[in-house]
Amino acid sequence: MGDIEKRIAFSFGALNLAFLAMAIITLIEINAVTASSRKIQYELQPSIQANLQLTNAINSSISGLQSWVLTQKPRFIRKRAAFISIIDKSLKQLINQSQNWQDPLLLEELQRLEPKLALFKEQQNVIENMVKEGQQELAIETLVDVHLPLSYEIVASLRKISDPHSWEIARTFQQEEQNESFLKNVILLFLFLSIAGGISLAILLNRAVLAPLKNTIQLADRIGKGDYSSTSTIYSGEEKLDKVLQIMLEQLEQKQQLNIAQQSELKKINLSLKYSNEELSQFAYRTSHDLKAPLVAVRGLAEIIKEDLNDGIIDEAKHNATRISRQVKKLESLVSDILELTKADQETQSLDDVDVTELTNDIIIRLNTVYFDKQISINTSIPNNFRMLTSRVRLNQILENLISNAIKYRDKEKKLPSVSIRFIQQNGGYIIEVEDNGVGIPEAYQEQVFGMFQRFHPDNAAGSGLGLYIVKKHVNKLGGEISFISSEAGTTFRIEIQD
Amino acid sequence: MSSIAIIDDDEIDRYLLKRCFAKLGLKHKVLEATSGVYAMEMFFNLCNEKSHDGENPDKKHCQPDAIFLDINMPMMDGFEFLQKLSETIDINKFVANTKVVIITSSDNPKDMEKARQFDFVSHYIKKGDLNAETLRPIFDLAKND
Repeated sequence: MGDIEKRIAFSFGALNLAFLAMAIITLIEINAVTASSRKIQYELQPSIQANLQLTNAINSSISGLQSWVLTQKPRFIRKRAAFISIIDKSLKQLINQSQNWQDPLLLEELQRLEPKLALFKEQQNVIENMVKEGQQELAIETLVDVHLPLSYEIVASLRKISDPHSWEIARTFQQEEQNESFLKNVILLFLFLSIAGGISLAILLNRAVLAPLKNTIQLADRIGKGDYSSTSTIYSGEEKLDKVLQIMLEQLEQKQQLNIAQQSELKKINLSLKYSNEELSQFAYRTSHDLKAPLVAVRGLAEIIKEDLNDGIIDEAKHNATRISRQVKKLESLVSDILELTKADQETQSLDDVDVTELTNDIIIRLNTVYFDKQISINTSIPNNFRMLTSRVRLNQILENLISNAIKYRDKEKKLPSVSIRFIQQNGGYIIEVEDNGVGIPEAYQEQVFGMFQRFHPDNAAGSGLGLYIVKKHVNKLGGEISFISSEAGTTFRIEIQD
Repeated sequence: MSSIAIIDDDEIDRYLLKRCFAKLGLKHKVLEATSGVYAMEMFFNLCNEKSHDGENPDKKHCQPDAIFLDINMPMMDGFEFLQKLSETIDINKFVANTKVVIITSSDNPKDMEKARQFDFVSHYIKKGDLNAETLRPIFDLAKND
C-alpha cells in the first residue's frame, strides 16, 4: 500500500471511528435518560400517588367519622365507607408497586403498615357503632384518644415510605439534567470534532492527493513543453511514482541532450555537405569553362590559320600555331592541377619520413628547368638533417605551388627576383615560410587568395587559379594553418603545423 | 575616330575578335583592357583627355561604338564591371551610343540569367559561336552574301 492510500485510509478510518464513538456514547446517554424516566413514570410516580391517595383517604375517612359522630347524619356513614374502599384500593396499589422497591426498610415499613390499617378500619367501625348505640361521649373519647393517634402513626409511616421516593425522583431529575447537559456537551464536542476532522481530512487530502497531483500535472506539462531539467523536486505523493518519474526525466534529458548533440552534429555535416556541394558545382562550372575556353580558342585559331594559309600569310599562321601550342600547354597544366586537387581531397595519405632538404632541393631543380631562362635567386634555410614525419605528396605540392607562384609573379621591375624558403622548428611543431620580392597580392583581393579559381594578375594569366586553393587543402589536411603577408615589396606565406 | 573596346583577359580571344573586325572591314580603333578595373581606368582616362565629365554625351570620342565584355576575369569580372559602370555614369545615355556585348565561354545558366538583369546589355555571344557573321548585326551591317 502506497503512501497516499495509507494516509487517506488512515484519515477516513479515524473519522469513521470518531463518528461511531459519538453514536455509541449518544445512544448510551439517551438510554440512561430513558431508563430513569421510565423508573419515575412506572415505579416512583405510582407509588407516591398511591401513598398520597391512601393518606388522603385516611384523612377523609376520619373527617367523615368525625362528622358522623357530631351530626349523626347517615350520609357521613356512606362517605366514610367510600373512603374506606379507596383506602383498600390504594393499599393494594401500594403493595403492587412495592414489588419494584429495592429498599428492604420500605418493605418492612409497608408490612408493618398493613395490620395497623386493619386496626384503623376496625376502630372506625367500633366508633361508628358506639354512636349508633348512643354512646356518643365514649365515641368521641375513643376517637380522640385511640383512633387519631393511630391515624397519625399510619400517616407518619406512609410519609416514611413516600419521602425516599420523592427524594429519588428529585435525585433522578437532577441526574437526568446532568445527563442531558453531558449529552449536549458530547454532541457539541463531536460536532466540533467532525468539523475539525472534515477540515483536516480536506487538508490531508489536499496534501496527500491534490497538491501532489497538481505538482505531477505541472511536471507533465513541463515535460510536454520539452523542459526535462530536474531542477525542482518531484513530489507526486507516491515514492514509487517519484522514482519512476525521476528515471523518466533523466532518460528524457539524456535523450534530449543526445538529440541536441546529434542535431548539431547533423547541422555541421549538413553545412559541410552544403559547402562541398556548392564547391563542387562551382568547381564543375569553372572546370568546364576553363577546359572549354582554351579549346574554343584553339578552334578559332585553327580556322584563322587555315584562312591565312589560303591567303599565303605564313608568318601570321606560324604565330597563331605558337598560340595554339601555348593554349594546349595551359590545358595540360589545368588538367594536372585538377588531378592534384583530387589528390589533395583524398583523406588518407601515407606518412613518410621526409628528408626536407632533399625534397626542397628536388623542387628547386625541377622549377629551375622550367624557368631556366630567368634570373632568379632561390635560397633555403633548413635545420641540419631536418626530417619530418608527414605526407611527402602533400608537402611536395605545398612547396612546389608556393615556390612556383613566387617565381611566376616575380616583379620584373626589381633588380633580382628572389625566393627564400625557411623551415623553423618550434615547440611541438614547425613553421614553413616562403618569401618573395614579387608583385604582391592587391589588398582588395587578399581575402579571396585561397578561393577556387582565383587569379589577380590579368597580365600574368598562365595559372589555373587553383594553386593556392590546392595548397590550403593540403595544409588543412596536415592539420596546419596557412597565412600570408603581402605588400608591394613582396609576399610571405607562412604555414604552421603542430606535430 | 570611332572605337571598339574589348575587355577580356585572354590575349587569344582578343586577337580572334580583332580578326573578325578586320574581316568585316571595320576601321575602328580597338581599345583593349585585360580586366574590368583596367577598363574603368581606360574609359576614365579617355574621357578626361577633353573633359572631367564622363557623362557628357557630346564627348563622343571617349565612348566606343561597342564594348565586348568577357565575364570570367581576374580582379573585376564582367558583371562587376557592368555594375560599376552603371553606378558611375548615366547608363541609359551611354548605351544610346554604345552597344554592350557580353562575349563568354561560360555555360553557366546563372551567368546568362545574371546578364539579363542588366537590361542595357544588347547581345550575349558565346565564344564558341564567334565568327564575323555573328558580329554583323551588332554593327548594323548588311548580310554579306
